[in-house]
Amino acid sequence: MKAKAGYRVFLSYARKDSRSAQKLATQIEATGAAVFLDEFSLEAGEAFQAQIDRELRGSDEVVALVTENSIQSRWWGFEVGAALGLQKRVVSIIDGVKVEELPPPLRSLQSVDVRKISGYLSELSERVNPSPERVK
Amino acid sequence: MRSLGYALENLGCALRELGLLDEAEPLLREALRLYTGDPVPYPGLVASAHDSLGNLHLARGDLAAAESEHRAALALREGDSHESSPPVKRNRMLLGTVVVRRGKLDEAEPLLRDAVAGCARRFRTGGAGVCQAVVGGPSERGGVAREDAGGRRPLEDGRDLAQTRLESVEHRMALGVGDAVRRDEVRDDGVPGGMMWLGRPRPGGGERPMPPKHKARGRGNSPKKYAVFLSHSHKDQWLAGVLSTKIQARNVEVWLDEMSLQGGDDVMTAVLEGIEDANETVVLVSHEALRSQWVATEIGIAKGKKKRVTPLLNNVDPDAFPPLKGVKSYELNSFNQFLTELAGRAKGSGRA
Repeated sequence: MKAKAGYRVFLSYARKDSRSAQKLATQIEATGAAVFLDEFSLEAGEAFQAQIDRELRGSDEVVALVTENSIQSRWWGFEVGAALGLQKRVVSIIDGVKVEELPPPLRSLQSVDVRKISGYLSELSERVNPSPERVK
Repeated sequence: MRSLGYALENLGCALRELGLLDEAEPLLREALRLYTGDPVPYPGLVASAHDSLGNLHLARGDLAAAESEHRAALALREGDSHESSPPVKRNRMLLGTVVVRRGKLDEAEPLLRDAVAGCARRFRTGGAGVCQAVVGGPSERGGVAREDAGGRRPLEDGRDLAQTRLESVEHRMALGVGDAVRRDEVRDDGVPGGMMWLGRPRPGGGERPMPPKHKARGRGNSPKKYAVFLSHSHKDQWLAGVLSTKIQARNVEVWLDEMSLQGGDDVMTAVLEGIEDANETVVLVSHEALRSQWVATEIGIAKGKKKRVTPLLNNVDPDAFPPLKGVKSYELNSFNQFLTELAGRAKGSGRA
């Protein structure tokens, strides 16, 4: 939205979570990042998959909304894997799932409880709008 | 019972790594009891539980107890596997790092040397500094670290990689050394035996096998072999073992991911590196694998890295896993055809 060439966040979520995903997207956009919402679904056609692939590759950061719904989905594991394979920063926002219920691959990722999202958002904001002395 | 054992062992290890040692211990003991009570006990699993307990004792600082658990595990593995098999080597390393701390240097040295010489390059990373330094004795520790890490990558970077809990000097050294080794020496280092093993790197880095300080005798410049990462559910472990043997018979290396059995923070790193290093990925797609989030993640990683991914179908529909729709797959019954094509690719790469 704001920054055309700016920071891009790929948001991965299950269809049943679209409402909370929309809310999260709004919060992320408020930091100045552009958000691509990827509602992963089994019926996704090939053209859409190609778009997902493009967006994932072009993103600076991948946010996975982790809920009871998404951890059941193998698409979720696949997307997180693809993001890791592309060496993207992957952050899981956890909503209503206990850490011990997370699938093992997720446990080693950076995770944030949705109730403590403000900390993540300010951290993200620093990545989106780096102050000069923070640029390495 | 076995799967309950896995679950208990995983949880026990996770608690141990979180520092909840007293909570971890009964779980690990119960896992050991379940594995041992299996009608047909699988020595590798019993050994794994012994090792997990050994690491728990180590975390407590009870070296004598740790030694006895690792010794029990090693005896089981040596009885079960070929002498030079990776699990045996790894176990020698575990035992070696404990006995060296107990001052039994004469026993430790051959154990560690053997582990070093036989381990996959995946492990020729973090543990190097620690194992070598420990063998060399206290006076050499600092020297080794400075020498290997100096000028290549400052230790501070290593500290970033480490979790904050990796506080000890040894760990920081290991990370510094490990990274230098990884980037500068490991890539072209031959791996004896042709078998690569992805086990569980220890979160502390201190118990991984390590490379010889100088390149392995006479193998230093041998080109890497063509390699396949074999993704599977741990429930298909036996079948995966059979398939790897057949792949290896075509002079192709196999990364067999045995980590779905175990937990640990570094697992993801090891998987990422394993897939990166392998030329292609093969997925054993079974009903179990379709339920595995690990397998899904590994396929994703391979796709993200633009690796060739080949599903091997074990009684499942070719389209059963949506992300693999349209990808060329093979029924297990046509595995030989896949092998022939694989051998052709390996040959074409000049790395066979």
